[in-house]
Amino acid sequence: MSTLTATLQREWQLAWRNLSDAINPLVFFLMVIALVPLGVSAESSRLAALAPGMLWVAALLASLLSADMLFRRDYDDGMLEQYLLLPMHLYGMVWIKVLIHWLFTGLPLALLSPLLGGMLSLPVAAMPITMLALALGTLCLSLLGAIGASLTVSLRRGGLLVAVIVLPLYIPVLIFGASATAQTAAGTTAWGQLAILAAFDLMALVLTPLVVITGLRIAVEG
Amino acid sequence: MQKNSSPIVELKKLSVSVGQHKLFSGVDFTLHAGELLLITGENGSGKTSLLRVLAGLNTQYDGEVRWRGENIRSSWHDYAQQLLYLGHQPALKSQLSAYENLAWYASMAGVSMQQVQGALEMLGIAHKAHLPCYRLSAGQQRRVALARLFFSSQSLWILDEPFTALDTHGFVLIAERLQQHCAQGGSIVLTTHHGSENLGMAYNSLSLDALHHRENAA
Repeated sequence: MSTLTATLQREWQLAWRNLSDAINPLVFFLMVIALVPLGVSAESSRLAALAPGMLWVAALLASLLSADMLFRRDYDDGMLEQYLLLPMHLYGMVWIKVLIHWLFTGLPLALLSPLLGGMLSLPVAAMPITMLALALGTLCLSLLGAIGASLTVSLRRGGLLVAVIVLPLYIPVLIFGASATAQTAAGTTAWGQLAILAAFDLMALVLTPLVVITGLRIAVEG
Repeated sequence: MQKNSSPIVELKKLSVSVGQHKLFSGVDFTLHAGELLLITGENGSGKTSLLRVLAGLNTQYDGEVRWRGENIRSSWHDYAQQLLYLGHQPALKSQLSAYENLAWYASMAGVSMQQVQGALEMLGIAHKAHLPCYRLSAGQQRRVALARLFFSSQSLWILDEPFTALDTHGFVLIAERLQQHCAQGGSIVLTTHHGSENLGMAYNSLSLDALHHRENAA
């Protein structure tokens, strides 16, 4: 257990030292949403209709933007080799890396969403559920993003390839997430959608590390 | 040299290719406890590839790698516990300090921070241990990476060009540590271009050039 605690502590320190990695996607998220009223219309009824979809599409792209960096530094400085040589299964290692990634990208994005929802005239009553849905949804996005990151880490410029691999996998999260926000904005409950997002999270927590570990092994061998 | 003991590592008919290009083939060697094996060869002869196969990082090879008589594929868990691999990259996080970097390695090895402190003092970098590693020179970073050797509990060390960027004093410190490790019954496989005659100990060597040329002539 102590090996995992030590790894958690170190990844936490690293995330704080590389704070720009977390801030860039947030700024991107903020800017995309800020452009919508300028580009579409400042009329609140039209914005409110667009709000759920815009919030989720922007969140998805922001998450995609940060996924590429998940294993890049570890690959470049030789740390990935050291991870693969540890006499233990890498499941915990991948969880730690993805959870820290989510804490520094997905969670702030969810916390920022009421502000952006306000800019898009999203009803205040829909904010708490939107935050919760974004928190759940971005965790799944981080886990799926890790698959793309592991498969492209050995390529010098994997950015676009990550998008091609990962965006199709993001679609279910987008559909149920945007639907949760839209339904609460319309005044009905969205517990069903939240439950499905939570189920996605659980499934991704169990299954994605297996794919990620295989991807990382291939990257290091290549 | 304890020639009579059973071998720690055995390579049998090892061949490694990169794509279509055969790097080397038919490499055999046996390493016993307390021995140091120096792998020599020109640039591109496959020294690093050989070390990576030995460390289990590359599994695309023909032949067999045995650890205490068992294939490393089947005894991976035991093997990994006894293995310390130091590759080309120093495997340090540049944003973290030497102390923080080594703290992680110390937890993996299950040793106390006092031993880490001792290693840093031994290598003369204790006064810079709290600076982020990107502030250190290449030689100092190498010393930080090599500090792992001073608190390692692993018996087999695989070192790829460990002396790169080290000054003469650093070289001597590391060479002494290598001698000590072998004297305590550990084994080392390493590549270096830096005066192996100055290691101050007996060693076996394996030249990949000879194999390479034989292959080309055939």
